[in-house]
Amino acid sequence: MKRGAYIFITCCLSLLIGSCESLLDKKFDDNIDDQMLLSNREMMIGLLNEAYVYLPRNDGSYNCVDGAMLDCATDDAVESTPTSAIHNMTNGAWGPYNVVDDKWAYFYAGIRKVQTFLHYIALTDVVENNEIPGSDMSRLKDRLIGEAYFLQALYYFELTRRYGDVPLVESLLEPDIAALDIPRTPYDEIVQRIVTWCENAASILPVQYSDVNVGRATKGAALMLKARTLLYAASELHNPNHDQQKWIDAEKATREFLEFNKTNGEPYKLYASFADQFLVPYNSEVIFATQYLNRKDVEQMNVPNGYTGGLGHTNPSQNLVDAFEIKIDGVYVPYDKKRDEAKMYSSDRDPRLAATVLYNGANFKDRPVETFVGGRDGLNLTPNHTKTGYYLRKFLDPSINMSEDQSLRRVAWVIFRYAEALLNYAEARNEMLPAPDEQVYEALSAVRERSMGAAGRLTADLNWSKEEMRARIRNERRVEFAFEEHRFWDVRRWNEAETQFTLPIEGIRITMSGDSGAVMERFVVDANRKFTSPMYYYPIHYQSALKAPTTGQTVSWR
Amino acid sequence: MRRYNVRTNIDARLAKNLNIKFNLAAQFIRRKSPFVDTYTIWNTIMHERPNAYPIFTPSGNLGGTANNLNNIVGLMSRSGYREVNDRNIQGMMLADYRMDFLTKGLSFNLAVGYNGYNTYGFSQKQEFAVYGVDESLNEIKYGEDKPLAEGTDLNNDMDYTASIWAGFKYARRFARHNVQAMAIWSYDSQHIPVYSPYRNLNMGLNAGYDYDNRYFISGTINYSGSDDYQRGDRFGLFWAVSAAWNLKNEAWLKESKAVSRLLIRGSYGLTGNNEKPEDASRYAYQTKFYNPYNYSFGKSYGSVKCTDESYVGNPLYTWEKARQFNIGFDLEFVKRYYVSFDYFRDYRYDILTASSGSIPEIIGYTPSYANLGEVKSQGLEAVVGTTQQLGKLMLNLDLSTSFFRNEVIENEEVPGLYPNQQGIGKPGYGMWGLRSEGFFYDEADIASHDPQAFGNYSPGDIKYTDINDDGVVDTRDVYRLGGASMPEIFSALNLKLAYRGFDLGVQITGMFNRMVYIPDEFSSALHSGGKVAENVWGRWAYYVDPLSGNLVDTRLTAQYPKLSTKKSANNNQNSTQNIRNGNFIRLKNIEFGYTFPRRWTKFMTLRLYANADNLCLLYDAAKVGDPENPGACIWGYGKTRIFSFGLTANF
Repeated sequence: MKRGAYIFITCCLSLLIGSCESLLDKKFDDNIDDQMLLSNREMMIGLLNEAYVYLPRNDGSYNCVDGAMLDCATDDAVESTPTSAIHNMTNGAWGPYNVVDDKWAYFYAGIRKVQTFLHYIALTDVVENNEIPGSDMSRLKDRLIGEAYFLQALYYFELTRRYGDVPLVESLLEPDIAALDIPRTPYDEIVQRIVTWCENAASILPVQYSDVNVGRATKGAALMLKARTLLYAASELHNPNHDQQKWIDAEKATREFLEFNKTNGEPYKLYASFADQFLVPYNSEVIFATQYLNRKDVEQMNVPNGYTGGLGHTNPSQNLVDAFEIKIDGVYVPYDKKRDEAKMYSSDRDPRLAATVLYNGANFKDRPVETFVGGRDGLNLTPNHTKTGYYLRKFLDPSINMSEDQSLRRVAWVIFRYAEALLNYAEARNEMLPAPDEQVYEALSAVRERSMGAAGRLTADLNWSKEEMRARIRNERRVEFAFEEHRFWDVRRWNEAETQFTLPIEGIRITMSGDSGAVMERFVVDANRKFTSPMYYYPIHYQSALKAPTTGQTVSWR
Repeated sequence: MRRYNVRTNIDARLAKNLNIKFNLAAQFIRRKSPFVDTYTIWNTIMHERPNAYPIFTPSGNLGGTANNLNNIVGLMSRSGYREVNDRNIQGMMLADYRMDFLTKGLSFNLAVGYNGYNTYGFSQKQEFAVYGVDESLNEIKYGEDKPLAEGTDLNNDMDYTASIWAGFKYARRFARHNVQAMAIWSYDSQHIPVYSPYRNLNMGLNAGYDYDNRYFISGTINYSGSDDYQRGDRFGLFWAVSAAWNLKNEAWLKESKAVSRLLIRGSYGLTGNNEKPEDASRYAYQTKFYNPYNYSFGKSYGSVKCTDESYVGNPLYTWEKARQFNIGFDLEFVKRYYVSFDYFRDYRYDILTASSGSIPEIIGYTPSYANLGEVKSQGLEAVVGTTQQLGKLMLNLDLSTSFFRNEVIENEEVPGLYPNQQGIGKPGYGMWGLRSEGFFYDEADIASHDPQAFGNYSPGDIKYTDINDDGVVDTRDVYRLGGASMPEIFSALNLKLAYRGFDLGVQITGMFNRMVYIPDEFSSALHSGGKVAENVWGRWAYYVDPLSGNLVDTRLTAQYPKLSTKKSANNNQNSTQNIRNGNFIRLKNIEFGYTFPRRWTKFMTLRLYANADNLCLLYDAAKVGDPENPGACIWGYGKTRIFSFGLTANF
């Protein structure tokens, strides 16, 4: 009896101790873990789809910096809301303790999504890679990897134009502080990587997609990114030693895109109407854009205050208005303040003016815009009305009904469009050659003629010097791409921000007096624009710099 | 509320050595409450301006305006109702099997328990119209009176916990030696719908020995595991040792009349904790994915399935640990005066801490919890008291106090901050804010002070100190204001008197070394609710009253910043203006009773009593609302003062 009891006790104990671990095993898995992921084709493709979420301006509206468009931090416009954080970019308060548009963590999150995809796709065969001639699903696995390289290149491009030298992350990182505190890789090296990734992507990606896949990265998008990156890298800010080879590389890449376009049946060409291209999704000029979502926030934020539901945030400056050319004797020439003041809004102005800016008397929706003092959209009528006498016209669809919730339209942020390919080429070629040749004039003219007609044509017998052509190309970029987040970066890469962005911002005051009609008077809206040399790049938040002392603050802000 | 309790307790002896206890309890509870929740009702009462509208119009309808549709009486009685039903069951079976036949003093115990909770509920919403009254006493209707709508289900929930406890116990006395030991194995599993159950497994050994009731020593070892950790890393070894010395039983103290009790005790051990913050992930060692539809492609704009990491795994995830030490003594003189004292120290480490403060952003995601936190703490508890018999008067008075302070050693905050911004080296759970120096006197005062970066400000607005001396007052001048909302010192005073059948009991409690946050409703007049509290009379003002022509000048005595219809970002910062000393002493309970003489009541004892609970505050440093809970009556029920009277009969 006693022995039996002893045996019983020993058995109990050993049984219990032996089976213990399995009692604590998970009963069933309610989570998707990496094993499940690697065996599921849809989920693997999903990993790449998620990487698109971090495209620039996919995370919000056009008015992305605290209710203001980024171009309100240039000499092109003023943000009407006085408390918007964007004013800190222009009033000198910008810095590591007042980081206005913090994109540091955002783009590294995008890079992580790309790295996650690349990490897992290498471990599985569940995504097929067979040839299907004529289909965009041909060699799907390779195509997805190509898209990943394009996205990674784009994210590094965005990081590097904001922050200059940045840490290079090429794998999935673990939370080990020592491994995360890495030195910044120099700008030129990052550019090399971007070029390599774009070339890899371009070799695999299709030229066009079937209707169901439109919006994914294409060969054209990869070549455009390569061209723009090399153009930036050759520009004065990133090329202080004036290494002419960089301009040669840039010209080659920009020309490569144009040739690719021609030999592949012209998938991209200038859209006939400059104004309408922003209203038609996936039109022929769009090379790459974020997803097209049903929205009306572009209208809500920017329609003049006198219209129902309009908040009129973006106020173009007189400085921008003066940049548009005027037709004199059948030829478009630069606007002259003294000679042409009476014709400021006449139909002789570059049609892009009316398509970009709403000025006094311009027709919008059911009535003319009234920016005169006391008008419904009048200058400084309330603290939220226009500060400059102008409102934004570009991107707006007048048929959107602000009071109706369901009145929406498909809008995306266009990242590359064909007009840029032409102007990139013109700029690179002009810088490469001692003086502009026929090709430069042709590329520049193509963009102008789309809006101005034959009167905008420029030919080689104008015989401009390299400097003159440079100035004309720069002005063309300004008027063609106003409010498309080009000028903010262009003036910086041309190393001209200290002079351009400190110019006083002008507006127009129009007073209606019964007898003399409209009296127009220029005035200074903001004489205190500040730009110091660190501001060529974005600062990172001071706490981010403290977390990683080896990486440290953006070089220009140290 | 309607509640039915059922209970069955059975004790049975099944065999010569086997005793069984069987307990079963069940509760059936039904609660009905207004559709609108408690928070909304109190919040509405707190925020509606007293002069906004009459509760009832002259004709008896509910009052309101176009902007005030939440008539409080309507919210409470005409917004509909909720009904929640709970069905809970607790069952336990205990078996005790004496195994003296093996060796005297040995027994085997088995306990099996089951706790089940089940709740389901539904609600029916109702709407009511309110009526505004104009100058000619005409009533204007806003909203609609609607009958009870169709029922909607409320949150239904069910979970049950099953547990088993089995072990051997040994207890034996050999002359002056006393031995006890216990070996146990326990397992519990909490089942919740859909997810894997929460399970813990524990194997432990416990042994104690004492000699002659004078020297005591005992030790415990536990090998515990939880399902939340990775296989292979689930179990941890925890132990504790304690010892005590009962000096009273020593020969040289045994007969002492002066010292009636003297005991010294101490313990040291390592314990573990597998509880985690509510937002921490389960099975945190694994990376988890999910499939949002976050992007769209295609001419017809179709959303596509994306795959994203919902949680990035932390393979080093484990339990928190603490090494604890404690020492104390009990001392009693002449059986009438007693002192008890305990001191403890503990060092906690591997505390689950949010590590986003220290991890650089290039990692591409926000890391969640990691076992990196460390805190050390120490404290003491003391009780001093006396029991006296003075003739027919019996008196018992004691004062107990506890003091507790901790210090953060590691909290994964951003490195390299200014000293005032650092949490390391300071106690945890602090209140942080700026230091207010008062209010700006005039423009010259503003000009001579460092610029403040929160927003526009002018004379009458709060003046803050530039703590880090960098020439500007901004968020980097925030510092730890002092005690957390948890007090460092807690005291209670108990007094009991009894005289000829009369008895009096008084309990006074106090909390010290704490700060309270004054809610916006009191610190931010005309905003956050539109009402104005009494303390606003002390506002900064400097103007000529247009009606009387008198100069109003409170510039030197102001306790509250200048009033404004616009919310001032400058004044709306957390600072010593709205975070204050929250020490208080409360008369917690007072009871007066009379027991009728036994000769009157014969076979029973009868006692008559009157009791007041939470009677009043004897000292209140903050002077705003209830110091123990400043959110009382704003976000929920406040503390109530309870008077009760009764008669107790014992047969």
